[in-house]
Amino acid sequence: MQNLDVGETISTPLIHFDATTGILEIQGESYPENVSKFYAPVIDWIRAYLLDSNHDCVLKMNVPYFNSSSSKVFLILFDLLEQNVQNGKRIHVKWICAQENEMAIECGEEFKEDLTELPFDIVLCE
Amino acid sequence: MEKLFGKERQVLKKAEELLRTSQFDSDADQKNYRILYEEYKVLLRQSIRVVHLADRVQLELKTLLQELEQISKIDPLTKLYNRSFFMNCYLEEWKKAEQAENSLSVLMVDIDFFKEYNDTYGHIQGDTCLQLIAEQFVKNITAYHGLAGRFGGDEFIILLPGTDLAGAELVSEKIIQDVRDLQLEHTGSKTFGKVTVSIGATAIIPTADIPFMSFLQHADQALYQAKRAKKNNVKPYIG
Repeated sequence: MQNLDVGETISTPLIHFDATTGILEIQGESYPENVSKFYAPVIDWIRAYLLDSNHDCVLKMNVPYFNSSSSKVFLILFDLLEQNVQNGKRIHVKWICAQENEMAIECGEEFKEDLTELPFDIVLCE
Repeated sequence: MEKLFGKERQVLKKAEELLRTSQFDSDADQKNYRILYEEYKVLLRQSIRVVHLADRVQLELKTLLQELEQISKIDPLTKLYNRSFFMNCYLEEWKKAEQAENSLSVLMVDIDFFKEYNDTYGHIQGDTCLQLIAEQFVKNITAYHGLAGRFGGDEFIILLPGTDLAGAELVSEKIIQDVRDLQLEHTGSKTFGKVTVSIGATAIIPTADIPFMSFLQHADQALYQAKRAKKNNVKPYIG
């Protein structure tokens, strides 16, 4: 399966999904003009990848700022991952935020609250 | 008002009730209904979460906006208005006074021998001196609904809406006295060996044909006269 690489722009994050290592990275601010259009290939890739692979998978998200539509996409994404965990997949989410970005930390805690089986760690960095 | 998502929760409750009492024509119907119910439950949870997240972000943005607004208005050292915000207020008050044919006063204030103060005591103590003096302005202009701004290094400007020249001179005298009463030692000063201020005062009833900037120049000229005279005094502008 091909990797998915999308360059970062001012309003969309960098996407780097590596099918070989199972490391999926989303990094940068997210407030696309058209959220569905931007994230449709991202969700599609993950869906296909999870069907295709039994590899352990880590989703690393470092999104310091995101709009409400992006948060809806993230919830869809986490639900998708949680379903896969329930079906036996080994998936781990790392929600990475700068120590001083309280907003991102609190949002990470909000996301975590809804998840029962998907491991979701808030990782603070300098 | 009921809870924000009260109606949605009622829908869920009703659906649960229906599933429990099995009022369905067939098992297939009941199964499909259950699938829809489960999907709705997930989507509702997502919607609630999105609203919570948005509230959180908006609150953060609102706080940041207030901080930025404060920074854009206030001189961080003296907590008086900065020059640009003061000028906005001045323009507004000028227009109000013109419409109401009311008088408006401006005081231009300068600390006597402040360069020497900084040279003698250092800039940190110089900053403290500026803060103490700014406090004397605030104390004396509050009753007049006045506005005080820091114009530059040790130069300040005070606006007194609805105040004539006699009132402006009175406020000036009180400020001069209060600064003197601070008894801040200033060996480099040629007045009392204490920190003092000079003030140029001017008053006007604005009209459309008077350029509002010229009024500030009047105050500046009066301040120049006060400094040239003996310092530690107020000089009114005599046009």
